[in-house]
Amino acid sequence: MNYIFHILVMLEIYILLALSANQKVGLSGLISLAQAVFYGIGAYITAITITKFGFSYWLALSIAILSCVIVALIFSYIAGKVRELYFTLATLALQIIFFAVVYNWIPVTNGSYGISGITNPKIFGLNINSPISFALFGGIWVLIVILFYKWFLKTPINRLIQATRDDQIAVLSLGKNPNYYKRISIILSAIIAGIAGSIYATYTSYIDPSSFTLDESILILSIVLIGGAGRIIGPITGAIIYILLPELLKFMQMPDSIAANMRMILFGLLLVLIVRFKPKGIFGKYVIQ
Amino acid sequence: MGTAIQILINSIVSGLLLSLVAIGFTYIFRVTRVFHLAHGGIYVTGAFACLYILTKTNNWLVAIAFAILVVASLIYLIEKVVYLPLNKQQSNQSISLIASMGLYVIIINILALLFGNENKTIDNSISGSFEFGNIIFTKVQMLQTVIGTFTIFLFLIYLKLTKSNLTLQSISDNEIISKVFGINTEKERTKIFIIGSILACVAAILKTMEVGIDPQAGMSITLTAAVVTILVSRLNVLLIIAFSITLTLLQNSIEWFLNAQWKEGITFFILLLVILFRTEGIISYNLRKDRV
Repeated sequence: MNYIFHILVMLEIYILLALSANQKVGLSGLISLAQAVFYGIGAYITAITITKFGFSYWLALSIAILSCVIVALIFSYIAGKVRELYFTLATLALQIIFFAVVYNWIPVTNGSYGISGITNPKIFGLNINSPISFALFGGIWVLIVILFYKWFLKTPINRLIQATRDDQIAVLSLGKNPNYYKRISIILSAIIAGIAGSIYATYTSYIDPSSFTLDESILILSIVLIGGAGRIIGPITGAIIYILLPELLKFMQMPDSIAANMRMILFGLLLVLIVRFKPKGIFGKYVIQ
Repeated sequence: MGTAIQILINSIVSGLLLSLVAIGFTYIFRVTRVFHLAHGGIYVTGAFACLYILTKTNNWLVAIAFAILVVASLIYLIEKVVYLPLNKQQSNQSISLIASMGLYVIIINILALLFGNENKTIDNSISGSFEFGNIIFTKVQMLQTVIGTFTIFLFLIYLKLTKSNLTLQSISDNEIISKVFGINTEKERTKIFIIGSILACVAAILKTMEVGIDPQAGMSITLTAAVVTILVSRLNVLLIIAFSITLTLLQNSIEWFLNAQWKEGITFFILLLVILFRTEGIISYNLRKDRV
C-alpha cells in the first residue's frame, strides 16, 4: 500500500513541476531547459535551512520561494533580452551553471554527497512522515495550484501574458510592457517549481545534484509537450503518463533492468511523434510557434 | 612550464577532436537551422558500432567502415522521417530542438539497453608514449592528431572541389532564394547531415581509443560543440578549429587549477555572456535585430 502512496507523491510532485513548466511554455511561449533549476533551488534551500539552521518547514519554504523569485528575476532579464532559440540556449547554460554550483559548492551543498537528514514538515502539530500523509500533503498543494490556475486563467493579467506570447508588438501597441508579463509568468513558474522541490526534499529526506540535471529539465518540458501546453489538463496528463508508464511496463512483466530504459525510449518516441504529428500534445491548446 | 606545455599539447589534441564534432554541429545548425542535440546520440552510436565490430572481427578498417555506415544510415533516417517533414511544415527552431531532444533520449537508451550503461573500453594495442623531458605525448594522441587532421583536410577538400561552402552559405542565408536559384536544398541538407555525422563518428572512435565510451558520453561534447557554434557563428572551418582548441585549453586549465566539474559551468557562463551581449557571435557580422 505504501508503494501506491509513494507513486502518488511522485505523481503530485511531477504534476506541480509540469504545471510550473506549462506557465512558461504554454502560457508565455518561453521554452526553458532550466525548470530543474527552480526545482533544485526549492529543494536545496529547504534542505539547507532545515538541516543547517534548524528552521521550521514553513520558514524554510518561504525562504526557498523567495530564492526562486530572485533567480526568476535573472531569467526574466534574459527573456527580455533574447527570444526563441537563444532564450532556450540561455536557459540551457543556466541549468549547467546551476549544476556546477551545487556540485562544487561543497561547504554549502555538500557536493555529490548531497544533504541528508531533512526533517519532515509539520502542519498544526501533525508530523507528515508517512507516504500516505505526504500523499495528502502533496495533494493539497496540487489542489491549491489547480484552483489558483482555474482563477488565474480567467484574469486580465493572464490574457496579457498570452497576448505577449502570441504577439509582442500588439501588446506594445496597447501601451503594455511585454517584459513585465514575461516576468510575472517566470516568477509564478519558479514559485510552483520551488514548492515541488521543497516537497521532494522533505519527502525523500535526502537530496543530491543528480536529481536536478539537464535531463530532468528536458523531462519536465517533455511532460508538458506530450500532455499538451496551455491548459491545466495537459501537464497533468503528461505527468500521469510519465509516472504510470513504468507501472504499465511492470504489469507487462518487463524486468526492472530493462523497464527504466524502455520508459525513456517510449517517452522519447512519444515526444518525437507528438512534435511531428500532434504539435498541440494530447490535450493542449497552444502550438509552439 | 612543463605542465603548461603538457596542458597545451593535450588541449590541441582534444580540441582537434572537439572541432570534428563542432564542424558537423555548426554546418548542420547553420544550414538546416536544426539545433541538433541528437548529434550526441550519433556520436556514441558511431563509437559503439565500431567497438561492436572490433570485438567480433578485430579488424579496424571493417569496424570503422561499419560505424560510418551505421551513423550515415541513422542520420539519413532521422532527416527523412523527422527533420525534413518538420522543415516542410515550416516549424521553427524550437520544435526541431525538441524533436532532437526526443531522438537523443531514444538513441542513448537503446544503446544502454544493448551495451549497458557502464564505460566500455577498447583492448588497446596502441599503447606507449613518446617522452620529451617531463612532457608526454602518447601514441593514441599521435593517432588522434594525424587522423583528426586528415579528416578535417578531407572535409576542406570536399568543400573546395564541390564548391559546397558557397552553396551551404547560400542555404544558410535564405533557403527559399537558394531554391529559386536552382539549389537542391533537400539534397544539400541530407549531405551535410551525413557528413557532419561521419565527422562526429570519427571523433568518437578516436576518443574511445583513449577513454572508452558510455551511452551518456555524447551530450557533454555536443554541448561544448554547440558553444563553439554560437561563439563562431559562421561557416568557417578554420575558425571553428581555433575556437575548439581555445575552449578546450580553457577547460583543461580550469580542470588543472580548479576542478573538473567547474569546466562546464564556466564554459556555459561564457555562452550565456555571448548570448546576452553578443548574440551574433564573437567573430561575425551584426545580425539584424529581427533575427536575434
